[in-house]
Amino acid sequence: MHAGRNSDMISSAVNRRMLMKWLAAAPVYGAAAQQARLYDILIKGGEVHDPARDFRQKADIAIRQGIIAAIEPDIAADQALDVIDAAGRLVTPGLVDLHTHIHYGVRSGIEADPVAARTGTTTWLDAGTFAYTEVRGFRRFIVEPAKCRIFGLVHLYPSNRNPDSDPVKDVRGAMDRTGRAAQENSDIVLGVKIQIGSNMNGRYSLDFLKIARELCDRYKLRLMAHISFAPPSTDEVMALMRPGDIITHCYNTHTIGILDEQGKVKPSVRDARSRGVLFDVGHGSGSFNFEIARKALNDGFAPDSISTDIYSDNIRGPVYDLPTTLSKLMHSGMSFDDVLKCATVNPGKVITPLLGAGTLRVGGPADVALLSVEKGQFLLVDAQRNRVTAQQRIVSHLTICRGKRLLARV
Amino acid sequence: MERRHFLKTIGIGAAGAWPTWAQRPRLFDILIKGGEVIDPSRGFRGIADVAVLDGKIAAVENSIAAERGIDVVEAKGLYVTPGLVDLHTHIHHGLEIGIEADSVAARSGTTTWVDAGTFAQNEVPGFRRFIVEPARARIYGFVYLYPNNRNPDDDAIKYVNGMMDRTGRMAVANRDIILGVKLQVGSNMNGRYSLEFLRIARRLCDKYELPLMAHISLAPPSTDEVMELMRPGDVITHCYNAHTLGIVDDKGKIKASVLDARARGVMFDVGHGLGSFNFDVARKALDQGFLADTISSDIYTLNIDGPVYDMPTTMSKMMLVGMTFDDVLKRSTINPARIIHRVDGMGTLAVGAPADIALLESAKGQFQLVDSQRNRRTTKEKLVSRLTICRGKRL
Repeated sequence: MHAGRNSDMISSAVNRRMLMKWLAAAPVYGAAAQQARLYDILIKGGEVHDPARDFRQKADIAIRQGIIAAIEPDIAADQALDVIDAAGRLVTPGLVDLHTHIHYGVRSGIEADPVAARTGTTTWLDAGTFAYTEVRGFRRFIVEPAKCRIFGLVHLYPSNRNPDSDPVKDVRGAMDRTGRAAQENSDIVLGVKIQIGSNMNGRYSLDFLKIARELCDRYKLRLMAHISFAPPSTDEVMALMRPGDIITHCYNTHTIGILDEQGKVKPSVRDARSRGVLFDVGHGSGSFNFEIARKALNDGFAPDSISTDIYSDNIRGPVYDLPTTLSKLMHSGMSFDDVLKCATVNPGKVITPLLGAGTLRVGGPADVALLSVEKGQFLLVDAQRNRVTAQQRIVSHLTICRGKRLLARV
Repeated sequence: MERRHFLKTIGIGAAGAWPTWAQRPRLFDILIKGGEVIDPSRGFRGIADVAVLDGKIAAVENSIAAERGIDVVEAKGLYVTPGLVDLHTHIHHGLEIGIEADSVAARSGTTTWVDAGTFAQNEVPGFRRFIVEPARARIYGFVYLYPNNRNPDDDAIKYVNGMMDRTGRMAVANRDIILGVKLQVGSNMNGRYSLEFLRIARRLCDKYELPLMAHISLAPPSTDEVMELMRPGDVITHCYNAHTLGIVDDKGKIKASVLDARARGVMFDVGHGLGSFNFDVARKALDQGFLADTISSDIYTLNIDGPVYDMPTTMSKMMLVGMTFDDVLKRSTINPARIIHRVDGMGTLAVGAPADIALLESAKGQFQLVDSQRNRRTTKEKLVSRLTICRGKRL
């Protein structure tokens, strides 16, 4: 493993790359010599998992110029400048976290890059940390400088300081501006986020949701709805969700939830799923419960995507990061293959501007995670502070994004 | 830098008279020659040359030889003043209505900008990292009392009360850039709650020993109620507004509570903005000798293309209503710099002070000026910025 390789070595590798290119261009080198150093990075000897095409076997992955150049049983080590020994590792698509708060500097946002480097998470969707007034800051301060890939959902909210203003009027007033901001920034803004629950909006959640519905229909945007406390009821929320929309916090233990009192998945939820509504975990400080997850899984209701809802108040627990969240879902009964699918290809389909997000295919983006499943005794905690001891956990060893190693800040 | 080194090399050649073993005097980074230097902090006014070295003012003398400067600025016919200090701006350009300061700084002589509450306590880290640190201009801020993402059904007073200590702690922890707390007082801003919020702000500022900047607009509360809660060093902004929460009464007289507040040491700031500067109100106040302590723009996206434009335009309006240039300059340099109180010598042109300098021209002609109520006035004299130097560098 070369995970500890420092930046000096990286820069010398870059110089070496320039030199090789120059040499390759020199006429004294024949065609064979040009083959000599074909790749920037070669990941050798790992077990490659690509849930997008049920690919699971030992293979080498070669990366050139930010793109996966080859996935073959054996690629000669001398063809790459940076050869990573992945023996005993699972080589997977870079993880995609569909619910995060990474608008650092606004509310509880964290900075994505350092966490990306240590968790295999190459693509992050900020779920509404910012409103339409803050999209330009999101682009300039967050998306553009990041080494990982960042997208966002714009929050629809009554952003008015005046407590005596009519909140429904405020949200309606923000509707078109939010839609236009999303449209004008469609390369990074993938839809609208709304928080549904009496704890978030008092009496107004259903009114806000109806406005969000109108907004998303008018501007053809995806809607992500947080669910927490009734009113409104689960049925009322589900009735307003369309194919491609996302319900997040699906395994919460609150009064807007997917299970009825008998612990069975509600018909309106099943109906929404059959229509194509997606269900996302969104762990967060309060929204993942082991018992709910287990009951839902027992009732055949696995999530479509597993996400952290990571922010400054939960990064030191109970959330920590995406591999930890994935481990919790494995403990609740999902297989590694299932959780991997929920953290790569499934959420990757939501990241429409990045073709091939969450997959490992030749010609696709070179976003790769080196993971392993460790055996042992591991304490895991849910949002209600229920503790369980897991026999296995997922650990990230290296993150490659856009064909470059992401390095933890020194 | 290359140019500087090159010129230094040339300098050695030109100063051939210096024996090689002698220590040559260092050349000034910038030398501003022949301007009319005005430094209201010490009542200085006269033709002089100003030399800048290593980000500081190195000399202010009658005549400094041009050969002693690397970058010699010809300032004949221009005022050479301390860099302008704008106490009320909105320059957190990742949020709401904020503009980016640097580009406006470069064309307006404004070297120091105070963001008046575009951001709340949970946005201070972003303000530091994305706004203050990358800026070439000097940036400070007043933190807004509360963020705007509350549950609309929450008890508003409870919510703002809940923000009190967080806001105070954040301000104290970032004392180098956070000057105090901003609150908008007016029924148009907080409905029925302005007075309650002001009381919470009062407790906050007392507990954490922070200055309070209070925007005033529409009553209730009344001017008297607001003035009563202001302490020495606090700032009332929008003092020349034409609204119901203002400094003049129905007969155009300055209210007793306002005079009393000033006597106690409360500061009054212009804060022009989209709706808060009125020629008539300003003239009435000036007629009674009530000059604002500080002149500021309250510039943001919705007024930068008029009626505010920039600091020199706002200053020109104050001259139009009756202030002298010296009065105006003092209120745009040393007075706000004293309120900021973070950098020794800011707002002055003293030797050793930070080299924040504006080159202003008093343009003569016929110029139209507009207040917030779109009243138009014609003036014969308008201030225009010709060069901005901040931290010893041209912007």
